[in-house]
This record gives sequence, structure tokens and C-alpha cells, in this order.
Amino acid sequence: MKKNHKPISKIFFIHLLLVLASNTQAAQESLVCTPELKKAGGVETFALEDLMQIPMFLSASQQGECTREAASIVSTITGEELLNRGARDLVDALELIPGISFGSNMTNMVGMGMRGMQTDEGKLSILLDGIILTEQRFGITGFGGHFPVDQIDRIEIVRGPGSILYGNFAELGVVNIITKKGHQLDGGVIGGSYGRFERGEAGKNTFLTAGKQWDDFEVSLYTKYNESHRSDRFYHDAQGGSFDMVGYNQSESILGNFQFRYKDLNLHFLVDEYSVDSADGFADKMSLPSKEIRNQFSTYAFNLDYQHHLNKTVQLGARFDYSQQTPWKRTNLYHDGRANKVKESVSIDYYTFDLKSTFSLEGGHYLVMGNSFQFQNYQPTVSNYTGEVPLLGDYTLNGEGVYKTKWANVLLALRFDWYTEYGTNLAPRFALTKQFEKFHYKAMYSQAFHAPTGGNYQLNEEYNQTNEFNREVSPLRPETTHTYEIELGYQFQPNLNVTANIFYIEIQDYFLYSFDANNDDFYANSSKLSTWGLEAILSYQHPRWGKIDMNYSLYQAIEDTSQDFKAVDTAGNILEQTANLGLPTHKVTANHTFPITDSISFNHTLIFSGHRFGYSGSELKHYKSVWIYNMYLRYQDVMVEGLEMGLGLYDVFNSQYQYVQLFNGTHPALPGNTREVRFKFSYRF
Amino acid sequence: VCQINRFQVIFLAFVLNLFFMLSLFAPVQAEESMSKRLVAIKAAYLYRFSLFIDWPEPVLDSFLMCVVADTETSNFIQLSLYNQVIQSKPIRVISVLKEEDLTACQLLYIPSTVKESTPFLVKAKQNILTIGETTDFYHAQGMIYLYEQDNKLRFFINYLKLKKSGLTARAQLMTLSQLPMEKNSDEKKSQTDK
Repeated sequence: MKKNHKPISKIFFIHLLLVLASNTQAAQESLVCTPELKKAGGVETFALEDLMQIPMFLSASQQGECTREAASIVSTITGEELLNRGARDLVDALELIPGISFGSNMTNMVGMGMRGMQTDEGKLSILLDGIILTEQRFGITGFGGHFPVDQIDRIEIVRGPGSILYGNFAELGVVNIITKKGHQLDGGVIGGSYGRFERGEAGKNTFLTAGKQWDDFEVSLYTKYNESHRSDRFYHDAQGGSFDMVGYNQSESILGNFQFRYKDLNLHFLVDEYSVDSADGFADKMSLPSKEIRNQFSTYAFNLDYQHHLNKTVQLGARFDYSQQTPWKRTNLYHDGRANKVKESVSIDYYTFDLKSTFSLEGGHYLVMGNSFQFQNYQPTVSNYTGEVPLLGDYTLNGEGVYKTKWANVLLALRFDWYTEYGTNLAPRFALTKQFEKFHYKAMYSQAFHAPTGGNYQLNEEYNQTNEFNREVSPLRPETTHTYEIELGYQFQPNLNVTANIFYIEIQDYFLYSFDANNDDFYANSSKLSTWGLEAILSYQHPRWGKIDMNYSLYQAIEDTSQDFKAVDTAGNILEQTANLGLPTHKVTANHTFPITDSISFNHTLIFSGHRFGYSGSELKHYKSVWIYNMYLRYQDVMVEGLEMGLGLYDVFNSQYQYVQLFNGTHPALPGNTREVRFKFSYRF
Repeated sequence: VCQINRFQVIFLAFVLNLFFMLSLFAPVQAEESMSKRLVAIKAAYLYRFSLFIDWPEPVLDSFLMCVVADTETSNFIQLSLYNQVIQSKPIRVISVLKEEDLTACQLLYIPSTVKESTPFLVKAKQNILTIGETTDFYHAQGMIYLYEQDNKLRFFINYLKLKKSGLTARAQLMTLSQLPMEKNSDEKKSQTDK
């Protein structure tokens, strides 16, 4: 065989140039290979128009992406499933994923726990069509009336580290929300919903989405406005105070998402405004009656992405991202006649430049090499802090390769980071995966690295300037996470799948949000936090009785050197060694969609969440296990084609879930909703 | 913080280069799942076509799809359409040979591996929807011709043949029917010649 070395050396040279020029590249990519084939019910549920868009043969790079996706524990929720369930919010969608539970942070903020660990403090990356929505100040994501669920194409949830591909916040997992594109919309949808708790308004929202494709041009637009209340119950603080949450603790959200594509060039604009009012306050004492606290989060983001197929083997990609965030802008809303006052505000400009090259062959072997440069300009605009936060930059060089053999697809990835403030790090990822006829296995090891954010830096510097004890806390060191996962799956029948995985996660030098005796806050490192657990999923589909998905998840806390996540009583005893605060060790969910007719479906969900521990002030409290049952009736094409209505009853048993604080921050549990009835409608034109 | 040393740099460069070389020179392995993927897409087409066709007589116990292929392929089509129904009846997929009686079939699928479609089309009398992929099938007056264009599947419906056989295609299906490009130009040319 005649070998032509010239093109290869040219390719290598081009690649080297790219590498030398400057990848969290994949932060923008879909996690799922050939998304068309991953939708609910499989390809046979596609309309003919959609079938005609599916490529017959995958390119080598598409096959490569399939393999990459396979080397993670990934769950996908489709837009159709969300509509069938009558999901009100991303919380409704994610709580059916094994290993995920929700608890509170502070000041009416709800956060997520995954596999027994709190995902706040930069451990979860939330993306909307590839743009990071996790706030860059502390890496915290607020849930509840925030993220859109209407007109979503799918949500991909990676349980397990994704830092090598998804950057600094993907330490424990990734939630990738993908909205419908122009060719899928081919028109527009307008709609809204209104819900009521037993004693007050639960929330209301309205949305408009539209999109179209003309040959090589494609545009899509999504806008929504949402108002919601956390609860209609009474909040009790740790000092004897209480208030009726009807009329308080409201959140408001505005989201705009515009995408434009011409051939391989993509342009994307995103606006996300989210505000959360809190009457419950910061710690163990509520802020009422003198004031409420409003925390506002805003993201204005822009991204430009271009993919160039040099030939069948080589693909080059370039991307630029810019976002301007104002996270945790805190305003005191006084009730005693004083004018409202902005107490704290920061502005963060975040820039990312990505270049990557993909080499792939028909057999599915591939190599991705990329590099990126990102930096953030962190400016405290209203603050007690008088110093400066340095420009935080990070240069990344990464490579990932897959070699396929008969018995295993071998994946090896390495990511090298050079941080302007935090030194260097080399993080590896290794996976063996393979799918046989009805059986598949995955065995994976990943390291993740999480550097402190500008907010972490500022808080410690500010503490050193202002604390009354003249203490000086050390600069925060980065976290390193090691995760081991094994998954086995078997298809017993064409309509019956069972998958199970076991995991072990260990975070070294994990960030600890701490307080001194004056309740002044700072961050410190603690040496080790670890959990192990298992997750099992059963999926069954019957032609007449519909689809059933069930899962069970378990985690067991192992080590927590700070004991900040442990249930420690006043005598210093840990009440349950294997549990972390706010998160149930056992969780079971079941969801069933029953197609009554072609246009009417009934969906119901049962969630069992095991018992939990949490603090109220210094008092340790025990929260019993709860059963939550939701049901939703969906009626499509009511009277006229395109008109859809739905009626949902949520928390039918009125179990009244409590959002227990996920660490020892003395904040009492935040009451969740009572029984709620919600009406939804939409019209497709 | 991990301080990177020269050894680690060399090791990183080595591993990345190793994979680069492997990916360029490694033997290409055909993936079995790729062909199954294609069969799944074609099975979806068969199912969707059936939803837009009206048969003169109602289906009795099950909707029978006859596939001129090995049993592995027909079994895979059966698996792909496991939960689906047509006219409220479950779908049954069987593998058929040239000499078999086809009268019980509602649909006859002749994949590209079957070079001569005529013997099957001759036996597929009234009320059987015929779907094929070869030029032979197209010229032998099959009803729905599935073909590849720009790496995507397209189809052309021979409306007259369909009607003659007693079947009716709904408008939604007809609007998506496209003549293959080369055949399109051939037919235009023949019209010009005339």
C-alpha cells in the first residue's frame, strides 16, 4: 500500500498549530450521539419528515461522539416525556433521575444533591444549548421556577465527573438542556400555565417559541416569563419566629434564547434573569419583619461556533464564548420605611476561546485534541471589600482518544490546566466500554479538578480585611475529585431494559463554607469527602398500557473530615454514619404514562424519598421519609389541531416535602409546596 | 496543587501522539451496530408508511409485514416495532422466500440485497403494499421506492400502481414523495424527447 506521508504531516502540523495557539470544547457539544435516535420510544416514533433528516451512515466523528457518550453514566429526558409528565420546572424533571435530590442552600435558594453530595460550590455544570448557566461567582445554581421545560428537545444528565470535557464546574455532573431547533419547530408555539397551592398561588408562566429552516439557514427563538412561590406553608426559624409563606419567598424568571445557523456557523444569544425573594433570611433567624432579601442572578451570553470538515478524517472546530453575569446581587427590601438598598453586587465578564481538532476513522476510533483559553474579569461593584480580585485565567490542553477492539472500546483522556492563580494540574480519564447484543458494560475512572472562583477568592480576602478576631484564613486550594464507576445493562426483552451501576467518589481538599462566632463567612479546605452507592433503572414499555420507568438509588457516606455534612448531635455523636445532611440515602421513583387515546394521556409519578437529617440553629432535626405522588392528564388537539391542554395534581398525598439545608449552615428547612393543582395550555401554529 | 514535571510532559506528549498514530493507522473495524442502526431506520419507514396507507379490508389478528431477507433482519425489524400497532393490531414480521404464498401479507419489503424484485412483485397481488430499494424494483413498478440521497433516505410513490392494487395513500404521504434526482432528469429528458 502506498503511504502518502505528506497529508498526514500536514494534518499533524495544522493540529500542532492549533494546539500551540491556545478545550473545554465539548462544553458546547451534545452529550448524546445521534440525538435523533435517542428520543423516547426510539426512531419508530418519528414522523416521516423527521425520519427523512436522519443520516443513513454516521461520519467517523459522529461515531466517535457515540463512544464518548457511552463512556459516561448518562440519563436522557425527552421533551415529550416532560410534556407527558406536566413538568412544572427542571426540579420535576430531575427528581426522577436516580441519585438526585433537592435541598436548600440559604435565603430561599434551592440546590441540588447528587450521589450523596451537595452540588453547590461549583460541582455541577448546567448548560442551555451549550452556554453555561451556572453562576461564575461561587458556582451555585438556583432551582425552582428558573429553567424552562417547555419546548425542550431533551435534557441530558451526566452523573459523574465531566471536568475533562466540560470544565471547572462539572466535578460531580452535568445537566445539558437542549431546546428545539428551527427545523423541529417549523412554526411556533405559545402557551402558559397557572397553578394554585391549597392556600395561595403557586405560580404562573407564559412562553413563546418559534423556529424555521430555509435550506442552509435555520433560526429559533424561545422566550418565557415565570413567577412562582416556594410554598403556602409557615416557615419557622430557629429562634421562635415564623411567617406565612403565602405572599413571600417569590421567585421571578425571564429567559430569552435566540439561535441562528448558516451551514456550519452557529450564533447564539441568551438572556437569563432570575430573582429570588427571601423572608427566611440567611441563617437561623428570619429577616422579617424588618426586611426581605432579594438575590438577583443575570446572565447575558453570546457564542459563535464554527465547524469545518477538512476531509472525512479531520474536523476542525473553533468557538468563542462571552458572558456577562451579575450573580448574587443582594438587595435589602426594607419594611420599616427605609429605602431599598443594594448591599452587594459583582460583575463578571467571562471569555472563552476554543480550538479543537478531531481525527476519526470509520471504525469509530478517534482522537480529539484541543485547547482553550478562558479568563474572567471579576469586579465587585457594591461591596465591603476594598481590594481587587485578580484576573483569573486558565489555559487548557486536552486530548481524548478511543481505540475499539472486539471486547472493549478503550478510552483514554488527559486534561492539562494551567491556572494563573492556582498552578497546574493534570487530570486523566480512563474507560472501558462495550455493547454486545443485549448486554453492555462500562468501567470508568475519572479525575476532576475544580479551582476556586472569583467569589471564593473575594470572600476570603474580605474576611481577612473585616473579621473582628483579626484572623487570617489561607487562600483556598483547588479540589480534586476521583470517581470510579462500573455499569452493567441487559435487555431482557425488546421492551424491558435493566441497567445498574456502582460508584465511588472522593473529593480531596473540598471547599467548606464556614462561619466564625460572629457569623462572618469564609471558605476553608477540608481534606476528604467520599461516598459510594448504586443506582438501578428498569424501563418497560407495553403497547397498550404504556411506558413505565422505575429506579432505585442508594448512597452511603464514607468520610467527611470536617463533619460539616454529618448529622452530629449536641453530644458530638454522629447519628447516622452513612448519611449526609439533607440527602436521603434511599430513593425510589416510578413513572408511568398511559396512552388513553391517540391524543389523551395520563401520567403519574411516585417518589419515595428516605429520611433525612438537618439543622435548625444548633438543633439537629430528623425528617421522616416521604411519598410524593403527582398525576397529569394531557389532551392534545383539543377541538382544533395544535391546541393542547393539561391538568395536573401535584403532591396528591400532601406529603409536604421540606428542603433541608445540605450543609450545617444553621438555616432551618425550607417548606416545599403543599398539594397543587395546575392548568397548562399551548397552541401550535 | 499538582506541579507538573518534565517526565509528565513527556508522558503526556507520548500518549497523545500514540493515540494520534493509532487513530490514523489502526485497522478499520466494521461495526455490526451500524447496519442494525440502518435496519431500525428502515423499519421506522415501513411503520410510518403503513400509517398513511388505507387497505380496502380491515386487518384481522395482526398486521403482517413480509420481508424478503434473512430471519435475523426480519427479527430485528420485529424488535424495532415491538410496541407499535397498525389499525390497532400488533405488527408481525416474517421472513419470506420466492416460492412462498404472499397473500396473507399486508406489506412486502424487498431490501437492496435482493437484486431481482420481479418474481416477488408478480406474486404480490392485490392489496399488498410493496416497498423496495433497487432500481430493478423501481422499473418493475413497485409501489414505494426507497432510495439514498445525500446520505438520507427518500422515497417515491408510484401512485398509479398503488391505486391499481386497491390501496389508497393519504395526502400527507404523497406530498413527501420525491422522484430520485437522476431518474427525475431521465424522465424530464424522455419528456423532452417526446
